[in-house]
Order: sequence, then structure tokens, then C-alpha cells
Amino acid sequence: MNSGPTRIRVFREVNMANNVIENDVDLIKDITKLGGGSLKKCFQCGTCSVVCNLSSDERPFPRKEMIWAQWGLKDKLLSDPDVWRCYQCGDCSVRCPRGAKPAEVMAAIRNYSFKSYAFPKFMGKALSSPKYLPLLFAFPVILFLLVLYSIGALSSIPAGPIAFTGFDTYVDVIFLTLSAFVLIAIAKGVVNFWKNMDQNNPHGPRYGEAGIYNSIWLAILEVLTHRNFKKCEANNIRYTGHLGIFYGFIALFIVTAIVFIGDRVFHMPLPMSLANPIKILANLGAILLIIGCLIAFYNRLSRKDKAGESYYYDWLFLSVLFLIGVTGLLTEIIRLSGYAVAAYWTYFIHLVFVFFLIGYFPYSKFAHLIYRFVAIIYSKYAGMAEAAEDDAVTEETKLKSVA
Amino acid sequence: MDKKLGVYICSGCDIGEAVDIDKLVNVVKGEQKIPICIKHENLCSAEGVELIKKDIKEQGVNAVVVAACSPRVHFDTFSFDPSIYVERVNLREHVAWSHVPKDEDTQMLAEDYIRMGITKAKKANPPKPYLVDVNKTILVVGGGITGMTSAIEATKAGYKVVLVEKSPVLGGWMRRWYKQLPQKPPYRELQDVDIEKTINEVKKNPDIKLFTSAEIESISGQPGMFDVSIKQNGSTITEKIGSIVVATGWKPYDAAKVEGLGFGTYANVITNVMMEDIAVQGKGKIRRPSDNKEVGSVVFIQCVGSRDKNHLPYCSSVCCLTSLKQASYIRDNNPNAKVYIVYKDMRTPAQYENFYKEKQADPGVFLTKGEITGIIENHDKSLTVNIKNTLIGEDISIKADMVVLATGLVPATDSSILNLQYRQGKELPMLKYGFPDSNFICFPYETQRTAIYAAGCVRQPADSKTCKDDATGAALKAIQAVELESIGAAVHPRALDLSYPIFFMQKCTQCKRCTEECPFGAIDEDEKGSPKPNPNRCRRCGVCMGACPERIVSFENYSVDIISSMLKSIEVPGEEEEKLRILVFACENDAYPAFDIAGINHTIFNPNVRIIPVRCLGSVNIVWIADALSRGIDGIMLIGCKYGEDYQCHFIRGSELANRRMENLKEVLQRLVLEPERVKVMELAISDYDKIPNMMNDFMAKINELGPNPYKSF
Repeated sequence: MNSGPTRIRVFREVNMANNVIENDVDLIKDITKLGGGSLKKCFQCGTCSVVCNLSSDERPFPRKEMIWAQWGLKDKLLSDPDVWRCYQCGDCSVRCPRGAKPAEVMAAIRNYSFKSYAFPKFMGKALSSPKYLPLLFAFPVILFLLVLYSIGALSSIPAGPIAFTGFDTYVDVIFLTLSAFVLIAIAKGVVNFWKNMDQNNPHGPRYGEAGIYNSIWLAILEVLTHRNFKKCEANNIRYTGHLGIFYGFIALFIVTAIVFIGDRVFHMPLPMSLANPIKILANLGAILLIIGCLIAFYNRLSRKDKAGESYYYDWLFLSVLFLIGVTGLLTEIIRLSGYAVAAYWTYFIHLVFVFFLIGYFPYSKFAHLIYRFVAIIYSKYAGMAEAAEDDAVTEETKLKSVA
Repeated sequence: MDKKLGVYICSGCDIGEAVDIDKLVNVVKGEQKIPICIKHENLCSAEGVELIKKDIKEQGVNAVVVAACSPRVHFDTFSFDPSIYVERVNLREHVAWSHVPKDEDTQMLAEDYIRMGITKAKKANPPKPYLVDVNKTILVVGGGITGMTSAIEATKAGYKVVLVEKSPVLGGWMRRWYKQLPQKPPYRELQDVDIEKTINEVKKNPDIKLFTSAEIESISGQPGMFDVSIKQNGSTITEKIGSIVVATGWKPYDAAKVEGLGFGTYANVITNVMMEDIAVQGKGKIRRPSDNKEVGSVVFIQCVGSRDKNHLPYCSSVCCLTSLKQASYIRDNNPNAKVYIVYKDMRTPAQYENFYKEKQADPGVFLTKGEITGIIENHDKSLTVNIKNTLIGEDISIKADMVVLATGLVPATDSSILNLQYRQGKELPMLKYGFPDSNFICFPYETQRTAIYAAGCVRQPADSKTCKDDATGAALKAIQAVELESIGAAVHPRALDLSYPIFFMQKCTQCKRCTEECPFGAIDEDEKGSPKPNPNRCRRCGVCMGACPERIVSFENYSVDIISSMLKSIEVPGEEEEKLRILVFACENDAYPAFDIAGINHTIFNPNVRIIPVRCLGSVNIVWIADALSRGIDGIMLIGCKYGEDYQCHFIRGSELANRRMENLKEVLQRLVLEPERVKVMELAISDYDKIPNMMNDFMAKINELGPNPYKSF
């Protein structure tokens, strides 16, 4: 058992006047649209919270999130770190006696959060519906075409071996500017999110014993090991898919960083040979990403009973990731086989998808990366989440229940 | 009547392997001196039955003793002309299947049972029914949905009905509802109230004699021949009635009795009944009382007084549904309206779960568990409802235009409704919470008055659909009652029993025990205090027989003398033999079948026990105990149904009365220098057969401790 010091809970002073309920009916409609259509079926039995391997005794979920959503209690949902501690494994949906599918509702609440924390606001809206999709793609396409036009690359294919360096300065400018915007946008979202979590923490701004650095470290460990994700039962194939995508993406991110610094600072010779360890890492990353995506596609398409329904946010993010992997790998293959025109245009398409992923990061499902990470840090920092996440404790409870 | 006995012993079903049949025949022929005794290996076969029939025809046998299986089986096989008395000796379940085969004690047990059976057959006579001129008209009290349905159903079965309704119009509460709950699959949509159709059907029915604005002045007499005086417009009409369905319905619980909710103080705090009136007036538009403003938000508070031991301890079963129904009135009229339902538990029985799901799916309906801590009226006459222990996770307040209190149903039983001219009181006795129940576990509609059946909300809180089912069931019971009365037979639970208690009035001392203790108020009194039995009110339990100190009450086939003689025929071994004898009086309803089931399961129990079935423990007369003890019986067990709270006694008070009488007996026993522990009242449910061996052993151990009955040698 946890042998830490006895914890004394300090409650915020009880307000004499209760919270006067304000129901945001639009929120209920929004969550319904974003994939939480079953939320009204919940009759609050709490089975979901009991079967969830991630839920803690102190702050069980997703039972409470279900009624908050039913009642349209926006503030509570947007400030709830527990929404982000759910990995949508579907254990709760499978066991729900009413078919309320809490896992899907939790996902819908997260989608709603991307939209709500979006800065600027119109970007949140743009990513929430397929009708804006052509516009979102048109922007990078036109931007890159303009660049190509201005350097005269549209009229003639560069001579010599196929290399993507000529375009680099412009790409750098575009992507560095974009990254700056994205960083500002995401920072604003995260700061608001943190403030909200803090304000609505029912236990007051009292933090756990972990401390901020320790909390960040624990959160990083959790993300890297997928420790909690692994506890999911009904939909554990999702864990495998996610692991592939996650590590594929990390590998590609590292390679991109090395190549960027290596090229721009140390004028590393490009393209690298296939035997170069960095190149090996890049190709491995791309394959992992593609395999991960394929598993995810399979899961979403053929295991709906366990995985639950998939919605626009899910398909968009997964498709973009998959297409980045595929176009990246294709670019490399075509380059090696010497078809210059095809190679350059594939690379062009690849860059458009990369732009989409990075540029719209704070507003798409991709943002779960940062919101979830921040929520995990907060949970640990505020002492909300230890119980269930302490493996030893969980194991012991399991043993006890067996005994 | 001259008795000619014939004893028929079956050796089938293991009986022949367990006991020496020839020895039994010797007991019959030698000791009991009955020449007609036949053994057969399969008495229930056509050939076996033919043997008995032949003797009846050729030898003039008029009392048949069948020593074979339990009287609970092959009842029809061993039924002959009504003039032939049949006694069954249970050699199979109570001897062969529950005791060690070929054992000396088993043989003694079988021989004793044969002796007891023969003794009873000698004394008992086939009953002659109580036949009177029976009127089969059914009285229905109450003209709501239940009463009307009962009346219609009874006429459909070919019976005449007299329907009495207090108010000038038929229809009861249903007439006041704006809509009714879904009555047909998929149970998701509200329906229009269709009570007018039923009202017209009743009015047009030539077999229903309708009295509106009428009340019952008095009901006298007995089932089959009730004299019912109906008061209408100042005049009194008398009707002859066979049986009665009580469908007086319910009244809403007074919301003003529940404190802290502002009912009666705040204009916009109303009850669910008032809500229906508002809906009807506004044709679905809900306007609040204070300013006639159409409501935009309403809080429903469930269980107002219900499931609260200070108010109505029970669940009224329809209030949750009513609130969901009224929530749809509001939502259907105003798509922007918000409806909040604060409940203890949402209870939507049976198919209504679908309706609950339907309403739950409405985005404008908000549900939570919670407790109301107070209601505040704001300046604009809106209300702020404070709630604790919610599912939201914190104490909340809801601001609303109106608050609806979901009050429960109170059975309409408290005032003078039936005015029965019964010695034990004018109304139906109530069991719990004012419901006129009798706790007949498997038999709804039964009250504690014979041939008077309760249906609808007066019996249990119910929706109209359940009320209709109730109405049909109660009508059927009322029909059964008049039909059984017309042949002089008892109704449930001794249905078809033709015997009835006969009072030997010359010896009566007017002690009034029988009139007071009869669980069904069957016995009235004359001016001198002598009992005036009403056989058609009687359930033939024999509680009066058990009560009578002068032993003047008897049935043709069940009397103090018959049982006394039976127990005296048991052979009690002398002290030197060291064989104890225990007598068991087992209730025929649960305990006796439990012994049968023990036998069927081949559960071996102590062979020193002799079982005498009794109609009810309440029919056990103290004199039997005295007789048994003076004969040297070492201990006596009275095994019957559970009594007290949630009693299981089929005659309501029988086992309780037996227990009380045995308590009184203790003193007498002590005076006789006999240990009171020798007599014990025990409870045994029909399913408790597996407890029998231990029950017997424990009692036997106790008696062993006390030693043999000191009166044995006298």
C-alpha cells in the first residue's frame, strides 16, 4: 500500500449560496455533433467509473463528466483534467448498461475543448467541420505555388541530382513563421486551460507533493511508456496502433530536427546515404507511423463495437498523419528511382500535409498531445491522480479482489 | 351413519421395501378388527382403484382408508361418491421415503399412522354443504378506471353488476388528466385520455346498474346474500349482492404536511395534481399561478412525503412517471423550456422504462438525484431551489418559474365506505399504510373479508394500466366467490372445501372468543353474546374451533374429538422401552407439504415423530395438548407459518393465536409439574424442508434432556 504521509484534505470554504446552475443547451448540441450523441442515455449508475482502469477512487470518471455534459455545464467540462486522463479504450462503453458510450462522450468533450481553447477562435471553427477543409488545404498549396513561382521552379525542373535544398530558405521562412504562430496559439490555449483547471479544482489551489518539475518528469515518463494506456482492456489494439504512431512520429521529429540543424548550421551533405544511422531512423520512423496508422484504420473501421464510432476529428487527424508518412516515403522512393518531376511534386504534396499538421496543430485532434500532457502534469501536480496510476497499488487491489 | 370401513394398503413406490405390509394387515385385521383389508402393489392403478370401487359396491364400504401416498397427490384417483368418506394414510412420503427401511421404528411409525387413519375414518363424516339461495350479482364500489373495468369485465363473463360511485360523474381521477402514459408498444409517446370511451361503455351496458352520487349506507348478511343499502338523492335502495369489488381508489398526499417546500405559501409551488389541472385549462400550455406567465423553467421534486417514515413510508410507483409525463407537457409546448427533475431514485416500472429513456433523451430535461435543502421565493415570484447531495458533485441551486411537488398516493380507506354490519368492524381491516391487504402471498385482491376484493389504487399504488389488470383479476375473484358460494364451498385457500363449522349452541358460555378471534369477521353476535355464524363469510380455517374452551365448534370431518381420538390411538411405548413419542401438529398449508417434500427428497428424520395435519395452527385446541401429554406423549411441536410482521399464515392470525395460546398454557403445565418446553410452536416455510431433520433432532435432544413424560406410567 501507499505508505506516504497521511494526507489532509483542505476544502475551499463552503460558499453559503450554492452555485446557481446555468445550462448551456448549445453545449449539449455541440457535444452531440462532435460524437457524443449517446450522452443523454446515461442514468448515472456509475458502472463506467467502476470498470475504468484509470479512474481513481478520489476523482472517479467518466460518470461525473456524463452528467456535466447532460446538464450543459461548460465550465466544469473545460476545466476537468480527467477528461484528458481517458484514452478512449472503450471499457466503459462496452460495459454501459444503457448504451451511453461514455468513451465517445469523453472524446467528444475533448474535441469540444480543441474548439473552445482555439486562438484565434475562427480557426477552432474551421477545423471542426469538413466544409472548411478545401480552404484549409488551399492555403498551403497556394502559398507553396507562389514560392515556386517566384523562384522560377514552376517553369523548369532543376538540373542535376534530385535534391530538395533549393526550396529550403523559403520553406524555412514559412515553417518558422508558422511555428511561431502555432506556439503562441497553443501557449494561449494551455495557459487558459491551466487557469481553468486551477479555478475549478474543487479541492482548492492546493497542490500535491510531487512539485512541478517532478510532475512534468512523471508525466513525460507516463507518456513515453504509455503506462496507463496499456491498462485499457476492451480496445487494447488501439494501444498498439498508438504506440506505433507515437514512436514513428518521435523518430521523424528527431530526424527532422537533426537534419535541419545539420544542414543549416553544419552544412551536412544531403541527401544522406541509406546506410546513415539517421536515415535508418527516418525510414524506421516512417514505417512505424504508417503501420500504426494502418492498425488505427483497421480498428476504427472493423471493430466499431469495441472502438466506438469515429468522427470527423478522428478521421482528419489520422488521415493527415498517414498521408505524411506515405508521401514522405514515396518522395524518397521516387527520388531514388530518378523520376525528377514526380519526386518534386510528391515532395510538394508531402509539404502541404506537413503544413496542415503543424499549422493547424492547436485546433485539430493533434492538440491532444499538448492538452493531455498538460492535464497529466496538472493531475499529478494537484495530487488528483496518484491512486489509480500507482501500479503497485493497482496490482495490490487486483490481488485482493482475487483473494 | 353406520360406518363400514375398508382399508387398502399400497406396497408400491418403495413402501413394500420399507415396511412389512403383512404386519400392517395384521394390525388392521387383528388389532383393529376390520375384516376388509386389501394390499396391492399399485393401488393408484385402474386395477387398484377398481378393487376399492368393487368393495364400495359389493361390500357396502362407506369409509375408505387409503394407506399409500400423500393426500396431496392422487386426490382425484381416490375420489368416489360424495357419500363415501376417504381417509388417506401417508405411508410413502412420511414413512417409506423419510425413514430407514425395514427398521423397527419405521414399522412402528407405519402401524401408528394406520391406527390414526382408521380412528379418523371411524369418527369423520363426509361434509354436507351449506346451501342457501345465492345471488350472483357483483357490487363494484367506485366508478374510476378500476371500478368501471371491473364492472365491464364481470358483465362480459355473464354476471350482473351494481356500480356505486360517490361523485355525480364516472371516470375518477383519469378524467382530470391532460394526457395519459403510453399504453401500447413501444411505450414512448403520451396518449390522449380515453376514459370517456369506458364511461360510455358502462352507461350503455344493460347489465350494469349504475348509481352515481350514491353511497353505501350498509352492507349486512354474508357473501352470496349480502343486503346492500345504497343511499342516493335522499332515498335508500336495497340490492341483493353476491360478492364485492372495492375500487375506491386514492387521494393525493397532502403536500402541506411536508415542511420546507413552501407549498401553500409560495404561489408557484404546486402539486402534480394541480399541474394536470393547469395543463387541461391551458390545453397543454403551462401557465404559472402567480401571473399566468407561460413557464420557461420548472423544477419537479420527487418523493414529496414518499419513502419517508414520517409521511408515506412506501413508494407510490407512479410519481416519477407523472413527472416525466408533465415534463413533456412543458417541453412539447416550449422548445426552449428547461425541466429539472430532482429525485431519490427514478422508478419507472416495467415497459415504462422506454418512456423514461425517451424523456431522458430530451436535451431540455435535466435529471439528478438530490435532496432539497430549501426553496426561496424571489421578487419576481420565481423560485430558487437549493439542492444537496447531487450527482453533479456539489450543492447546487436552480432558479425556476415554477416548482411541481410530486406527491404520492394514499389509499381511500379511512372514511366510512362499506359500512359492513360485521361484529368486528365496518370497514376492511388494513395491514400496512392503510391498504386493505391480507398478505396472501400469492393471491392479490384478497382482503380480510371473504368475497370482498380490493383492486386498483386502494390495494396498491398503481398506474391506470395496472389498475385495469387489477380490476380484471378482482372481478374474476368475485365471480369465483359467488360460484363457490352457490355450491356451498369455501373460497381460497380451502377452495372447494364443503365442510363448515357447526356450533353446538346448548353448551355455549358466550365467552366471545370465537367472535373475536375469527380472522375474517365471519361470526356475529346476538344480543346475549351468543355467536351467530355466517358460513359464507367463513374460510374454514378452524380458528374458532381452536379458540372454543367448551369445544362446541366442529366440522363434519375435523373436530376436537376426531383429532383427540387420533392422537389417543398412537401406541406409546412404556418407560422401560426408552422410545420417546413426539406429536407434531403440522399446518396443512406449508408445514405438511414441507414434510412431503422432505420425503420426496429422501430426507431421513427421526422416526419417533407422529404427524397430524391441521387446517391451521389456529385450529389447535388446547385440549389436544392435554390429551397427548396425559397419554404419555413426551413432547409436542406445533409447526406452522411465520407470524407477526410479514406473517405468512394463510389465515392471517392462526399461527399467532396458536403461539399466544401455548404461552398461556405454560402456566397450566407448570401446575401439572410438566416442563413447558415439552410444547413448542415453530415456524416452517414450505421451502424449508431441509431444516426438518435438525428441527426434529434438536427438539428430541431437548426432550431427552427433560426425560420421558412422567405421566407415561399412569
